[in-house]
Amino acid sequence: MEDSFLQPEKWIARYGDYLFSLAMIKTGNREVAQDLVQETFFSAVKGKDTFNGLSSEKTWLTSILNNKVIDYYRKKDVLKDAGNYLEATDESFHEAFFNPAPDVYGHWRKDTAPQAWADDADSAMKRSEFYKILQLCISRMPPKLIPVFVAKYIDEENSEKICKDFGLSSSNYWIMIHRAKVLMRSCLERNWFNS
Amino acid sequence: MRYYLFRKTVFDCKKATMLIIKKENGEASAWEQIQVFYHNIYCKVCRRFVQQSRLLNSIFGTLDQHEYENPSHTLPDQLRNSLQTLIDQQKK
Repeated sequence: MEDSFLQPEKWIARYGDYLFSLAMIKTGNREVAQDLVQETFFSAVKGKDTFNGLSSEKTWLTSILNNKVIDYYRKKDVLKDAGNYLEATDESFHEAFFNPAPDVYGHWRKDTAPQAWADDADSAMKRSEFYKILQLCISRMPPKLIPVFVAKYIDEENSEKICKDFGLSSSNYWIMIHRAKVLMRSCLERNWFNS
Repeated sequence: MRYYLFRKTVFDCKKATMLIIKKENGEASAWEQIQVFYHNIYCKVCRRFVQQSRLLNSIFGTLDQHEYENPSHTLPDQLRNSLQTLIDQQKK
């Protein structure tokens, strides 16, 4: 039940595992996830008078957690020097998916090009195992891509806010989103759709 | 002429997929959209990428609700209890 008023005594039962799972997916670290969930509930208890009832209790708590996650990444400086990182890794990304110069430069490599999928998406979403694979593929992404990928595709944040939150230029942001999507597509194809 | 247009507009699949992703977010310029259009006329693999990318967008967005209904991780008991105690104390 999603109410427009808060019932703090039920928070842990209702949202404890949910928020902890989100924190685990986003940080990939149990200790950190515990800290972030704890801080989230601390802030929520302290700030419960600021809840305006415009969003649901669940949305409100999730947004507090999301801000903690962003702070965590900022403090860790995960996205520092994003430009240099992208430049330094451009070649290995290119080589993994696209043909090198000079022949048919930039076209998909035969062995990693998108294949037709054997399993359809609807049946995937009905199965809990699929979400385990999805989380596995997130955790295997290069660490710098994870915060951006999660904000964009899991939280469905808008691009402008993500760039601002992580101090990214628009062009670096699109390069990261592109790489993350190509990697995720490939990982899910190998481990789920055509496995 | 066709080949000329192809060469003129259709660079490589790496660039095309980047523009495809910008396009699906409504962030591609008119010229970029034309480039994707021409590229995809000739490139079956990138047409497939468009479809799969769209599908993945809708799947990714369901992870949050899935975790709410079937959380993949369980809050450790010790933390669960201490947080519940904290909240109960605040109420008094």
